[in-house]
Amino acid sequence: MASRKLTALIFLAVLGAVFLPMAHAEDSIWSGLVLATNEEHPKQTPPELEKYYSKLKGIFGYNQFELLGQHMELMDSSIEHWLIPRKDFFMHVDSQKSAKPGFYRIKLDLWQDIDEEKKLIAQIEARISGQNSMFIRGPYYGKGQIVIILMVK
Amino acid sequence: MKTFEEKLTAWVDGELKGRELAEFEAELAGVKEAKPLKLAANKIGGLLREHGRAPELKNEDFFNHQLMQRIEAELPKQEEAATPPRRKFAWSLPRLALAGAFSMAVAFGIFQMAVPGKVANQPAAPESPNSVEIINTKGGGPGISVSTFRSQQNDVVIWVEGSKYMPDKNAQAEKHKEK
Repeated sequence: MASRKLTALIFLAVLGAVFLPMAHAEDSIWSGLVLATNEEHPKQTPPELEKYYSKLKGIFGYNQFELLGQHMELMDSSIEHWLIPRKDFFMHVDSQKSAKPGFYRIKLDLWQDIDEEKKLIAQIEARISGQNSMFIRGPYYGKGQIVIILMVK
Repeated sequence: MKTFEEKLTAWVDGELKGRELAEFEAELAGVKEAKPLKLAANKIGGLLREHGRAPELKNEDFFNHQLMQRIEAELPKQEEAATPPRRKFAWSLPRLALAGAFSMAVAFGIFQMAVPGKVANQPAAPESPNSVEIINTKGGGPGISVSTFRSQQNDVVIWVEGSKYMPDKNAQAEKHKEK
């Protein structure tokens, strides 16, 4: 009887030792609003965008990327909302934790404000997880284009 | 003095004679079933006499040999049936499951402790194609379309086409100041 209890205790201790460190902290979703342009002498890429530079250049064909706005949302509750506002363009995000750990269902609304008139330009619903990025090509803006990046960190 | 049953048996067997036979047959005159009974009994008696003996064995030794072989063949089965059931395996199913889970946990723990450095130094595995899944997209108005594709590096790209051009007012203001 005593040996059974000891076995059970050892089993629980090993399980705890193995799986407790795996209970990682809450995820965050990073979203960035980027202005992509082609310049003869491109500016230094902001550190937040350095890891995306080659992807952004490959996908959108621009050589300069400026960060117009960014937001890091800690996913510590089941439903989160955030906004990256600008005077003429803004993005609203609703996020919901999926039943599957590390997965999030997000709903993105992209708005533009031209001549005081707000207009919804796109609604996107997606499931995102892991270290994957999602890129959105937005409207033409100035000499370039607006690009949105979303990533679970 | 013979009873009726004894006289009947004697009559069927044909052992009644003379006056005794005549008296008994007179007694049986009113019994219709008597004659058919006698005929049937005689027939059965005849058949028994004819076939009543078992056929003689022409090769007794062979028959005995076959019989003994069959007995011997059946003996081991009887012994097996008589042997006590084998002792059950010491570990029950729950114990086996517990031991399996424990072993897996230990192996996983060793892997986590010993290998993570190697895993961290490896180039990142290709991203799972299912980790970004587009559920729905919708353009905000007429002329605006939203399409989705995957880049060569397997990233999900959403292409919003047809939205209005947006002048960069800040850049315009700066240019105006420079002038």
